[in-house]
Formats: sequence, C-alpha cells, structure tokens
Amino acid sequence: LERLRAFHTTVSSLRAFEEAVGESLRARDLEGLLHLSIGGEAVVVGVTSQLEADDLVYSSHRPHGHFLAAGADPRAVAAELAGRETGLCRGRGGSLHLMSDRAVMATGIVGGTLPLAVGHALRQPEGSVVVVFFGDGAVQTGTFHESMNLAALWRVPVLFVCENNGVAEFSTRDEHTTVEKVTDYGHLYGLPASEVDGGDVEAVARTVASLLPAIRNGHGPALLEAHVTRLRPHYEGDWREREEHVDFLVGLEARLVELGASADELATRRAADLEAARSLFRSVLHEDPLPDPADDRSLVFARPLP
Amino acid sequence: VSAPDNLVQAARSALSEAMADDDAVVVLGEDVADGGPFTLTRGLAAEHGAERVRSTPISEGAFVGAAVGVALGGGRPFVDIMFDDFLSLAADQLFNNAAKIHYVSGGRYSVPLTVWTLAGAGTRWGAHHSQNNAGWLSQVPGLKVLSPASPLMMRSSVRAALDDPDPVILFVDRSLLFSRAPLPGDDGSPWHPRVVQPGTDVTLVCSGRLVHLACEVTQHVDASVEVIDLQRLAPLDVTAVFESVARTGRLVIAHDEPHCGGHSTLIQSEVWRLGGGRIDAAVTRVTSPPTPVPAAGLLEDHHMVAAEDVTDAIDQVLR
Repeated sequence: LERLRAFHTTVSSLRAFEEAVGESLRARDLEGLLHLSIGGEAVVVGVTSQLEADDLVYSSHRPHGHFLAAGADPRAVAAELAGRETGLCRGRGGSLHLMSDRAVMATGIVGGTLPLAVGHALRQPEGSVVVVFFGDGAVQTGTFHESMNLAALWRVPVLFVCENNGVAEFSTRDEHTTVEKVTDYGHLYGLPASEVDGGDVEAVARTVASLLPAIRNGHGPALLEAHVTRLRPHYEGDWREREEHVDFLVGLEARLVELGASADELATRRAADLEAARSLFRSVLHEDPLPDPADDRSLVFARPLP
Repeated sequence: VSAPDNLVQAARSALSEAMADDDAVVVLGEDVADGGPFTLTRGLAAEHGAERVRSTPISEGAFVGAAVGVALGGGRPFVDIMFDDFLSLAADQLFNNAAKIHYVSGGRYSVPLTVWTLAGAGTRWGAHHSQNNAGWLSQVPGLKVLSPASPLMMRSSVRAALDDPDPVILFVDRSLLFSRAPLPGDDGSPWHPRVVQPGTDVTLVCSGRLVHLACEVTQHVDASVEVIDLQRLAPLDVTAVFESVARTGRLVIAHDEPHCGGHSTLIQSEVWRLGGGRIDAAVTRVTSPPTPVPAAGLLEDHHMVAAEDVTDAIDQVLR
C-alpha cells in the first residue's frame, strides 16, 4: 500500500502541474506550443522510480513529467514555460527545449534526442544508465533505427522507453506502419524488449527493474514498449473533438482504496496538488522577471567570437 | 630534410597531439579506425586506443547525434563527415541540436563538437561528392565554420576547434587536401580573415583553393589586387574586407558555390551593411552556374570557378 501510495503522490503532482499548464494556456497566461503528458504519468513515474543518482534521462516533445520526475525544480520548469529569466533555460528554450542536469534535454524534433542519449551514455560512469523517452511516432524515423543499431552494436547502457499511445500527432499507428509491435524492432537488433501496460505503474516499475541489471552490467541496451492513453490532444488547443478515454488514475485510486486507503484522502490530495500548482504558476507569472533581449546575442556561443 | 606536411597530414598530427593532451578527445566517423579514405585518421586507433577512434555505421544522423551526446557528457568529439554533401543526412543533429543547445539551454550546456568535412569539385565524382555547402552552414546561428587554406593554418584550425567550447565545422577544400603550399600570415589566427597579398586597386575576397588561384592569377593582371583569405566562414566577419574595399573602391567576391547559393551574397550584403547601406564601390561575385556539379570532366571544368573567371571579374570592376 505504501509503495503504491508513494506512486500516487508523484502521479498526482505531475497531473496537477500539467492541468495547471493547460489552464494557464487557455487563460492566455502562457504562450507557446505545449504537449502535455496527461495520461502517461504512470510510465514516467514507474521508470524514474528505478533510477539511481548517476542515471540520466533524455526526454521527448512531452517533457514536463520527465523533467519533474527526474528532479527538476518545478518552479524553474514553470518559469521556463512562462518565458521568465528564472526558468531552467532562462526562457530561451521553452517547453520543447527544457534542459537541466539529470533530465538532460527535451526536443521539438520527434526522435531527435535518441542518438544524443546513445552518445551521452558512452561518457557515463560504469553501472549507470541513460533512459531515453520517445513516442511511437518516433519509431518510424530513421534516427530511431540508426540509434538502436548503434547502441546495440556498441553495447551502450541505454534504456529506450517507447511511450506508445497509438497516435502519432493526429493519425493512428496503423496509418503509419505495418509493424504492429515496437518490441519487434528490439528483437531485430538483438535487444531485450518488453511490453507493459503503461497505466499500471507497478508493472512499469517491475518491468524496468527486470531490464536494468543487464544494462548496468555492460550487456548493452534494452527496449521497453509501454502502452499509454493520451488523454489530451497532440498539442493543447487542437481543434479536433476528442473521444473519451479511460484514465488510469481512476483505476490506480480504486486499487488504493481496495488496499485500505481513504477515497476522500486521495481526492483531497489531488485537489491540494492542483491548487498548489495553480498557485505556483500565479506566483511565477506575478513575480518572476522577464528576460532581457540585450543579453541575447551573447548566448549563442559559449565563447563568442569578436 | 623531410617534406613539409600537406593539409591532411597537418590535420592528422594536430588531432593526434590533441588526443595525447586531452583524454576527452575522441574520433567518430565512417571507417575512421581504418584511417578513412584520405588517411586523416591513419594510425590514431593504434596510438590512442580503439575506444577513442570509433568507426561508425553509415548513419550520419546517429553518429553526429551521438557526438553531440558525447559533448554534453563532457567529451570533445571530432567527427569525420566524409563529404559535405552528406551534411544533409546529419542536418537535424547539426542545425537543431549542436547549433542551438547553448542558446536554448540559457547557457547551461555547450557543445564542444568538431566536425571535419570535405567540400568542393574537381574530381569528376559527380553531384553527391562535390558540392560546396558553406552557404547552408553560414545561415545557422550557433555554428562556427573554419576553412583553412594552408597546412600550418590547418594545424592551428584543428587545435583551435578542439579547444573551443562550441560546435566548429572544419570545412576543408577537397582540392587542397594534399597541398603543401604555405600562405603569408600562416602564423596568425585561424579565426580571422588574413590579407595574403596587399594591393591598392581591387579587393578580392575568397577562401580555400581560390586563395591560391587568386594569388596566382593576380600576378598576371594589370592592377594591384589585395587578396583576402576569409578563413572563418561563419559567423561571418567582413570588417577587414570592408576596410580594404574602403581603400580600393572595388570588390570581387569569389566563392565555389552555385550562383544561387548564399555565401557570397551574404558577404556582399554584410559589406553593404558595414557601409551603413552605402558603399562607393563596384562589386561583383564569381561563382558557379546554378546547376548540380556535373560528372563529365569537360562540364565540371566549365562549372568550377576558373582563373579567367576571376580575371574577367577584376576587369569588370576596373572598367
């Protein structure tokens, strides 16, 4: 119960953060292109629960959960989305270019971080891993195959995590490929590859725990395909009508209640997390300074040329 | 007395020295463990270990991306992209990741990546092994591009690139690879334009093989031509060119690219900008026709900037 309750606590805080992001965008307090990971939090939490201090995370175009779960300061993430000087990247990156220490980087290019994770893993201390998250849309890019091939060839300590929501941008997986299972590619490149229900946070954690030892021991990369349900559109503000989908969080809370947790207590936590997230954004929007355009050219290079 | 190094030998020895000085320097690229097609990395794996000189699959996107990851992890990767025609295959990693990371991270990360690539025609190797794509690179904020035209300058350029915290492209003129010809100012900085031949009537700005061609042909024209080797193609700094044009009042820009390409145009517009939107000078560009590089020898010779193209341009601005 306590383990599951801890998972719920983290999921609740990620959910609340992104609900507040969506609300702030709709209120026009935030600008920009925002892809939310609402519905996918169980994968984020299950995977990151198995990471150790030296491990690193490379993210995708739905990065907020990855960054928060990997320990990025929520206020610095919020300030980055709000375009403030106090943001993780001083407002220059925004949602799609979040960069921090443990969660290294997000990307606006589907599949764009895959080879970076492979290269970065070459520099990592022995026994540590680099996890790279990507969606099922990335699987059809050349970069995915080039990176899987390179990682397998060099036995690089990378865990490839495909958050498969079955929808790449606006069209379904069967409109993109004839290959049914992402794990088939793992087998093709000779990697351990597992499939898991990405709504089941414990199953995700267990499966990751089963894949990590071989990676840490130098046997090379592995692939995890986690099936998730995208509860929001591809990007916030899309015009399409959405079908209703089942939220894994409902099932997670039912399971907690079954195990003896109080439903009221869970609801109270969710409400408190949402209020805290709203308050965080209000505070950032009111207090945090805007960046100064005069600094900008000096940021293009680490060593500017005369 | 042994013969002086050619450009590729100078690059190899500078790379080997940098590897000896700094364990973080590693080499990635197709066939690099085996020396590559032009001997750039010959012997480096034996000298510095196979772990540090890794041959890659033919996956430019993956190995350039991996090199960016190595750089983010504290390494100093040197990547060989065999021909600059292949930059298109790594364009996402170079343009969207390497070039942008320092800026979009608000300075949190830098990418100390060196990319070696060969550019230019003259080999009859056709449209996929002969282009000069400097114009692509000069349009991306965040990339530094050096084009050394002599062995000693190649040596300083390799060391400067590997010492630099930012992505540096070593844009190497294919036809100079085995050249041993020195140039005046070889002991100077690779980061700034150099006057390789002073003159008073016409300013001729160029880079790579055209620097040597310019020095040769201007011996036979009836005017005093100042030849400037641009050296740093990006970010472009034409201050020295502008100062020269202010004296000569005539500017010829010679660059190996199709006429629709952007590098020579950018030089021209930057000189114009430095003049506050006005320069009192005749200006002309010498480039190739706007076609792919042909394979047939006769056509390729016609395609490439030649001595008479440069002398015709000088005559034109003198008129």
